[in-house]
Amino acid sequence: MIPVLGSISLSLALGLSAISIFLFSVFLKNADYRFFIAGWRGAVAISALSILATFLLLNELLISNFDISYVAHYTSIETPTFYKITALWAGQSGSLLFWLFILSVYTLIVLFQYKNSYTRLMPWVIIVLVIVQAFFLVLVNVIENPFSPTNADFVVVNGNGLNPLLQNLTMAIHPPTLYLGYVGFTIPFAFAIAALITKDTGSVWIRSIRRWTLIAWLFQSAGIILGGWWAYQELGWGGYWAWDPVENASFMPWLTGTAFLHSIIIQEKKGMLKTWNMILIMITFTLCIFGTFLTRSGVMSSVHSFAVSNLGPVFLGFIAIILLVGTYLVIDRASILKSEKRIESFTSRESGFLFNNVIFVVICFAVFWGTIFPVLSEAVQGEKITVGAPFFNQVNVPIGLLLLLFTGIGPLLAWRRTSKEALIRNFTIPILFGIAVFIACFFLGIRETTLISFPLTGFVAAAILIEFHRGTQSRSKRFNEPFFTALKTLISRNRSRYGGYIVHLGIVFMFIGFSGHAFDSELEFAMKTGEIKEFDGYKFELVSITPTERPNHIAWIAGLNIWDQENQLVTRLFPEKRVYFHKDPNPDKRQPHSELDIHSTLVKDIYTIFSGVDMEQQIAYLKIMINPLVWWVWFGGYVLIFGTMIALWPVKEH
Amino acid sequence: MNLIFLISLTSLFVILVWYIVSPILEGTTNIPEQINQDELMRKKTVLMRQIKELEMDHHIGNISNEDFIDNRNGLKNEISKLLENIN
Repeated sequence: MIPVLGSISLSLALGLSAISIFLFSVFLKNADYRFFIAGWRGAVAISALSILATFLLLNELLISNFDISYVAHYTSIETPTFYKITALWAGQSGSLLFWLFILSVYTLIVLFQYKNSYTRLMPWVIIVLVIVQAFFLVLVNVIENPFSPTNADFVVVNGNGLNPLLQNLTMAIHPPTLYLGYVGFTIPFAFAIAALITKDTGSVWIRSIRRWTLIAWLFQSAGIILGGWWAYQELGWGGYWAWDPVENASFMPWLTGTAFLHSIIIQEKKGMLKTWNMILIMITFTLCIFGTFLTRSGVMSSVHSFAVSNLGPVFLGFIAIILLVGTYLVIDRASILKSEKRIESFTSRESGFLFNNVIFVVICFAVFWGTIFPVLSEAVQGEKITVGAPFFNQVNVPIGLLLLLFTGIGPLLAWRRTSKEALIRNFTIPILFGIAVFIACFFLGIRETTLISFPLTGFVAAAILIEFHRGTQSRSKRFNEPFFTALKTLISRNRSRYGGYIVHLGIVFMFIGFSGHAFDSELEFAMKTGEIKEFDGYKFELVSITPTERPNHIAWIAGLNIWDQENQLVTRLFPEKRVYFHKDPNPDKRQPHSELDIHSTLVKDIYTIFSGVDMEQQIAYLKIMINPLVWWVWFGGYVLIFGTMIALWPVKEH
Repeated sequence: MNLIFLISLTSLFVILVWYIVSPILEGTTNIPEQINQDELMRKKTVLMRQIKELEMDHHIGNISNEDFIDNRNGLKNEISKLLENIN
């Protein structure tokens, strides 16, 4: 009964989306408020039904109802309860339903947030949200129904189980976090379209969506960082970013979303960049849909290819509609999108913001080109030419460093123009600090790109700290407050701005971590228990190989003692070699997996992978990697999230 | 069991239809005045916040005197216009 109820809920929601749009059309034609309320209620009902359907599928996953194909494909009796919940977004139809679920929750929040504050934008905002919901409802009703029955002429007693790579806490959190980001950009997009249609392109829509954009950006950032963390902890190649197509798919809307977050400040303060903002949010939303398409269509080979399907044409059609409608509206409304002022000086904050925006978009284009090139080359030449990490690094590292430079320069510039005296006053200390770091790095023997990146992080960090100092000092003088009281009040009264600076500081820390990649080293070897191998200033002793059996896999645990040159024990690590579905009579279904172990410090990570075992000979095949400064990537991530939360926190009005 | 399920389903459908259609049968045709007033108050709050930010930028030295006076007057004018429409 429950699967039937789930399917009916989704069908009803799809039907209601058409009715809701019709009711809003009547309202827009006759200005009869009763139809607005009816349309609004229709939108509430669509969201409620979509949420209901999601909970129904979740229930079926938890009770292991293998009569549903999705449940049989992605869970088994042995799957732990927690991973039965995460199986909701492990497969194609479930993850599409999950997209719809998040959008429905967001839509409900918007609907109730603006229930008593009608603006001319609202009917169109709701219409756009309902159209996006309708698109996903078509997918889950017509193409990928998560409640489809299992196609078997026998009773299915057990399911396939969840992919072992997905049986990891980070991987359980990473997709929903990323989805919260992807889907979150629908709200600013809806407001942008509404502003264009109603020709109300002033600052009202910008003010309405700033917080929503930040929320989406926060989740997108956290999702990307968690994805990197998962790759680092789980995939066992020692890195956190491989320029994989699906990673790129999440990175592209982040880039344009970040550019948008910066450029709306210019529109709010100066009435400039109106067209640019419209284009940016449309590209961001389109890239979010494109990202979902890349993940779900199977068009690209990727470590994320958990799903292969024929959703491609539908997604591409939707993307084409968004782009066509968006482009038409921007061209048609060009006259009302003209800037109220012009950039007057090269050394102004406005131009700093503009440069930073251009750099974001250039990086996004480079990533986009590298991502779709294999598909294009296959379509045109019949041969798939893969673009790997070297291309992305070669193009993006220098542009990324330029972006880092502008992160430091921007806050030091004044609005409209910066006088010569102010330039000297504001830039002297950060430049001196950058030079000091350069000299220190040079004498430490650091060369090539890192000789630029480390001094740049020094310059930017100094610039940010100076901005905090200037603000605090100004407040201290004006209100006669002690320094730390002034600093606290400065941040709490100007959360958006200083939260933003904390985010920049997080980015600086992350760049320190990225730079550490230049000093990575690794060694692969086989060793017997009791043997010791020396590598990169450490001694690795294999103490034991212990076999163990757990509910859903069998594992061999290598006990490694790691000593420094003075024979002091640094740490003990226990990487594992696992085989999932080991009880399956079909050997092809057994899945080997290496569960690595890491000793992480501020300076470097000792990363151990247990890649193979010979129990008869008591031999372990190990790979050891020494990865300097990786800790700073995750620390920077925390700082970035903390800063965004400060920026998001509501300010008390006095 | 099937009958109970069918009745529940039909009830759900009827409730949904009533929930959506009822405002058309009994609601007011004009946009309520209070809703417009709330929106104007919200706009006023945002403009006041912008003035505060502008003052801070001026104190830190991120904006010249001339620009500060210009922008502040612009924002104050906007607030004045809003106040005319707020009851």
